[in-house]
Amino acid sequence: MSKEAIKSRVLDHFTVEVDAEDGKPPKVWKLCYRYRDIALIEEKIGKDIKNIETWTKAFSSGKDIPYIVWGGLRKFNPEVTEDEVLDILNPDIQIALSNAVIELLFPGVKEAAEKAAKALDGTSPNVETATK
Amino acid sequence: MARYDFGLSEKDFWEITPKMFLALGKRRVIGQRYERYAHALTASAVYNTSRTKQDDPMVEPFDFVMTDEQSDAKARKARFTVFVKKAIGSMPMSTSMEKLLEVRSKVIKDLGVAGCEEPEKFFDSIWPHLKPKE
Repeated sequence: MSKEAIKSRVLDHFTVEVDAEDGKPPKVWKLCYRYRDIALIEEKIGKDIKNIETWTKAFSSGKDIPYIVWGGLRKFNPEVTEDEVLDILNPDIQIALSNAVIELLFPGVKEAAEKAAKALDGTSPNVETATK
Repeated sequence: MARYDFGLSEKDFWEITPKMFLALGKRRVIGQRYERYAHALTASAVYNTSRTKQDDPMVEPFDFVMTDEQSDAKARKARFTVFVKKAIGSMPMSTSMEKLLEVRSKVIKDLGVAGCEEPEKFFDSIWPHLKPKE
């Protein structure tokens, strides 16, 4: 009898591989944002992260993003402390991290964008930039 | 909303993610469509058996239930309406007609880019007095 593994995912999350560069195997952090975690983050940073405008205007990447990452670790990696996140995060990965978090917090936006792109049938309404 | 429409307890609510909340919302819309269809079966049967003339059109239950495309089109139209109303409504009272017409052209162009069919006609249906006189 053949065996097949069936994978299922109930809580939407993404993973971050953290290499501490100490020769040990890298750790894997799983980030997930339940409303419980979102409320905790908002309490910590004093901003409404459910509002997309907060992400475009009011964020201080250095101060807020580490707390947002820490909040996302409450479900699967609760042992990770705020200090540990602050030590490990560096500015290079903040944009990629923010994008991944935005995707989880605003699932409707991504869907709407995909729908709009499909409606346009791959053609852009913008005039092509002159190259010559 | 989470408690009343989705029947979630407070504990359940805190454990779900925005994506799960969105999925529940979509499932709720499907449930509403089934309910509407059930009512539409009765409504269409009553209507069809009460026609007084041979020429009166027959209706089908699905005439009472919106499809995904129809819902999307309705939502899109509502968004375009807000956009057009805001663009002109936010101008000061003292704005000259010339300037208003300039904004009109720009809004019509933007509507076209956003996928509105017949943007000029749509704009004129909301602000008919801004339609240039021939």
